[in-house]
Amino acid sequence: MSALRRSPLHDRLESNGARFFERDGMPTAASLGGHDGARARVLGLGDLSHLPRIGFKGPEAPAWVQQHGLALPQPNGWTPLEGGGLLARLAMTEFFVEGAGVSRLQAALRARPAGVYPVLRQDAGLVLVGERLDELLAETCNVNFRAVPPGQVVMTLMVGVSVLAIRVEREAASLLRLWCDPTMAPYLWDTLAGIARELGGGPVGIDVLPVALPQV
Amino acid sequence: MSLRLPPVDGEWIDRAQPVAFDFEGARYSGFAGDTPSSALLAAGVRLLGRSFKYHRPRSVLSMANHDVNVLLQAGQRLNLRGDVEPLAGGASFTAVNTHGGVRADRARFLDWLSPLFPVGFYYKAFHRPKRLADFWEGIFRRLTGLGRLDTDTPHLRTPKRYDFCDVLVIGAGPSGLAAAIAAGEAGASVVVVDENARIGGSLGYQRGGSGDATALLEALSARLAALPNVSLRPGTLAAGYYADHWVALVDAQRMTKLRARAVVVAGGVYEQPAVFRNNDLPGVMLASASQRLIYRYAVQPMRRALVLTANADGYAAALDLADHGVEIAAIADLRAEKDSSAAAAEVERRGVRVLQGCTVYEAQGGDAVSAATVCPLLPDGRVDASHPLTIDCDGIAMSVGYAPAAPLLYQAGVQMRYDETLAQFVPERLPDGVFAAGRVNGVYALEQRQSDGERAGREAARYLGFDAPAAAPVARAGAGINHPYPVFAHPQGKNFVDLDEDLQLKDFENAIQEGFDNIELLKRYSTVGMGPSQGKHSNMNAIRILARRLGRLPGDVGTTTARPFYHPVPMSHLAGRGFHPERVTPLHHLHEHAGAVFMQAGLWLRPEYYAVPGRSKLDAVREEAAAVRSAVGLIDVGTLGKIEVHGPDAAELLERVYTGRFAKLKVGMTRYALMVDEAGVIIDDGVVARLSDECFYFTTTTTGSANVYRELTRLNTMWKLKVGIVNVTGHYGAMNLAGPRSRQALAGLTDVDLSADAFPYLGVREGTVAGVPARLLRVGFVGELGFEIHVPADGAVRAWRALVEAGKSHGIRPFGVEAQRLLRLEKGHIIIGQDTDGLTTPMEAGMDWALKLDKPFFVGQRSLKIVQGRPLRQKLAGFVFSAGDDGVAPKECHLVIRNGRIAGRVTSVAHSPALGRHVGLALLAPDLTELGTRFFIRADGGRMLQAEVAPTPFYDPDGERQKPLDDAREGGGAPRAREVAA
Repeated sequence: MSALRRSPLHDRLESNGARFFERDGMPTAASLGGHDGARARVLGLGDLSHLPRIGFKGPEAPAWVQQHGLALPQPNGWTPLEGGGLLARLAMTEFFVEGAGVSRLQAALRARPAGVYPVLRQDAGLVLVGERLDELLAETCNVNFRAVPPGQVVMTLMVGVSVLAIRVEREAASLLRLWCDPTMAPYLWDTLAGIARELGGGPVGIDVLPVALPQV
Repeated sequence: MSLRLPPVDGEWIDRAQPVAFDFEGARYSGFAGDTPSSALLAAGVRLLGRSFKYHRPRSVLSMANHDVNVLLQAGQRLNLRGDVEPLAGGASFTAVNTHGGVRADRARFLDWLSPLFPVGFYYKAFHRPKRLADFWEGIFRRLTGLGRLDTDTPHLRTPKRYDFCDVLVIGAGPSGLAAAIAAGEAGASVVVVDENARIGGSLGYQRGGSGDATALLEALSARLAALPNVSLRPGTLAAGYYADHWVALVDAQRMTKLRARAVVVAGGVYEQPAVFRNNDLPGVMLASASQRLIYRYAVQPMRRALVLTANADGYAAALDLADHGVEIAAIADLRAEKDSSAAAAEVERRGVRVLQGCTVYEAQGGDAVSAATVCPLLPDGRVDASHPLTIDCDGIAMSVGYAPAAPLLYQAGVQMRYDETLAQFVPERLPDGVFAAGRVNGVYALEQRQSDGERAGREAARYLGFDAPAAAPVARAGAGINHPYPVFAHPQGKNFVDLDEDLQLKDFENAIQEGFDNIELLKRYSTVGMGPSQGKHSNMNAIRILARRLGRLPGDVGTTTARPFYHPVPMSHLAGRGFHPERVTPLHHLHEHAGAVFMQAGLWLRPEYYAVPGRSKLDAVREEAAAVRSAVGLIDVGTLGKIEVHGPDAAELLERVYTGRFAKLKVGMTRYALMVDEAGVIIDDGVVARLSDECFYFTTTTTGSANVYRELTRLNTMWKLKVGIVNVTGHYGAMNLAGPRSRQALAGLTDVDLSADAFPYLGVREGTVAGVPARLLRVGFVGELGFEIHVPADGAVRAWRALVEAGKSHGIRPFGVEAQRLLRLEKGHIIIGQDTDGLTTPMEAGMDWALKLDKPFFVGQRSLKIVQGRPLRQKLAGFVFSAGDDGVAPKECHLVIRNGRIAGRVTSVAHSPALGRHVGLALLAPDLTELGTRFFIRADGGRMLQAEVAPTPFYDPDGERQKPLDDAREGGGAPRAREVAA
């Protein structure tokens, strides 16, 4: 029997010669050949869909977040979670969680707390990293990410696809995390990968990617 | 005869890099930095183009990117502007608008026939008599110029870009540069764009025989170099302004959509031509064009010049010409009084002949100017032609005034007013964040232009919150720069107002006389300003002519709308990379491997059918349908909209947005749901499943999910019900396992008890399928026992593969949309948007059973109560053809005809294997819908086919196949089981 989970980008990665390993119940591309590092330095595009994620919304959701000992992000803001995950606040009463912390909150949601409603999040999780990130953004999105304060979540369109985006400035190079509806992911991936290749980068495996977001 | 000057300080050409090129089959050479126009003029070639309509000889007018006298084609590239196109080695240019070359253009006879082409000729020709319209179209198409399009031209990749800055400065002349420095020094990030290849604007060429302008440009450049936050972008045209300070920037490579927080427009002015007979002859040019030729390209524009002027700039231009070896035959000054400028004094000191109060009445010559006829002006501005003076010259330089380069200001919503003193439209009221500076703002003296730029730059910075010192306003001053009416009648005409369209003064007079005396009407009737130049040299004079004819001021006449883009932009730039979003289900690649042929449904790609080698599409579809009827089939229905509603008021929300009842729907059961809009028109349908007291999960049509979710969210913003609405369309995969053996195929994969008692028809259960969490809905859109299986998207592949594997022994076959359409049609199930249109009510669709008009409220209820009492406009009915029909069938949208009139249309039709005949649905006139009524459908080729109204469902009318061996008790279902789910 195949793995329980499958990335919406699995066949893209497979056709790029991915070496898979299973993480979080999903075959994940560790590498896409021998030049991942070089590509990632210029402009790497990676698939982090394997990371677990959940969402929840409802009038009691902010209080529920605090009841679980988590700092409440500002609306349209995010905070890192211990262990490398993140908690993003998409609206006054809507939240998105990825990575560490998901299982604990998911278990708590099964108790159906009043005024807190689960939101299935099967988003494709992407990451863009490298020196030429700004050039790709200039071609694909009308948001001025340079003007977005640290710790903010951007909800916008990229090449016509609704995305959640978080930009993190790092010493080496900027990093952009993206999430989109999984049914739009192959199109978004193909488009971003094409532009990244034109700029000297391209798809890479997660061995060369910073999976955990740094503190903001 | 070379007209190339010795090296000129600041010239743009690189004499170390000679460039060879061809023009009209002859070889020439120029330098890197040249343009075709400059290199050809330097080589003594004066005839560079032909006009669009009359094929008159043309040459340089502006030597800028403002006119199209010199339009060239180079291979697949067409309509290149010869004045500004960078000269590339090996290029081979030809002039457009010619038949047989620019010198021997066979269409030049049209100039002699011009009296036969009155203003509005195109409209008149096509208007009456109608029978000649085709004749004229052929003529016009043959004569149409503007180059020859090669449809094999490769698609150029010109990706668009987005960019951002605090202050965008448009124009890199003295005002713009001063503005950029002021804003930059205040700390703002500044982008400066200029359409010219180098910055400096008029500082580079309007020198007036002195080095002051050059020194100023060097000083400004040095200050800019010290500001890393100021980005200079020459060769970039600001082509359009959009709301929120989005400005389209066009350069050679791409279009950039730049969003600025503030915009300073310092785009300067377009020098305007005078209107006199033969003012389009090669050799007649704007004074600024002659200066550009000298200082940018080191080309002597002419050898013996007549300068026609009405301002000090004309005298300065005369000095520039004289300083570069041009003999000034005379200066004709439109004004009666002497000019008081230093340049005029210098001209007088040099003994140049000045003809005060005179104009050029006519330019003489064949293919180029050889002399000018100069006449005195009467006090009212008309020409006194009784004492003409002929002055030999090979060029006429015109300096009679300017028009503001204001299209971007208009687009930004700036209110302009006509300043009589300046004889110019100037900004009167500027929107927030928009600033104007320099000559476009009516400020002309060089020092004032700098001050005005500095003022605008500071104001922009202060507007954005930067710390910049306040700046005093700069008074507008420029009286005597713009002549109020440099237009001179001539009995033989050919005094052109619009050179793009060959429009003469009399054309305007005739148009006005014909009643087109509003500037917008005049524009459309005469086509003034509608050519590639977009009226840069003609709109102002057209306004003046109309105003004078009406006895008004130009300000009363107003201007035409300046829409973006105000300058032609290459189609490749507009196309950009081309983004076309596409949605696929998680199972897409499995369908690809299974040979699916895809069709589009909104943004989605769905399998239409699965191709089978050696089988036709029709056979493949019929085999898929047969598998569902006889064994088991599996279809990907992941494109269905999927929405969850949680909360104590979840049932109340559904009661309000759907026509049926949901408050008492049992947990674990589903119900068909129909949605109408405020007018009672059907807009969506689906199946609502109750998962718990406070949680519903429901489907919508494939294309309706986003709209339904948005509408529910909007409504609840008003209603403030205690609910959470979640659109999970893309986050769930879904598949429908249907057919008499579906239960057996599924049984071994799920922990859900599938027995009829435990899981009745219209039930919903939660469990797992192949280990994947799943929601199972027992619905029957295709009319067989079936299970719709919804799983998280990342588990869809595992579930599908397991079902296919488990179904092998039961004869499972994947089926596509085409087979599903056939199967549901046999059941008489409608598809919203196909069997309904934008006006169809539930009554018309025969779905009264889905309406609960006695509910307290639902959206559209009030309208439906009103509609209920009225006669139906149309009614949906089933129809059949006689058994064993010959296979000729109508198609969807074919019309029902009665007594020669339309009485309906076919909405669905297909051959039913189960019934052995074609069956369909049609929206019919109500009196045609009695069972057994026969009517005619007009099919392809006009053939009339007789059909008969028949009851639906056509297949299994009692629905026994959907609920074999079980449930007489429907779990709260509808009177008729119409589980429409697509």
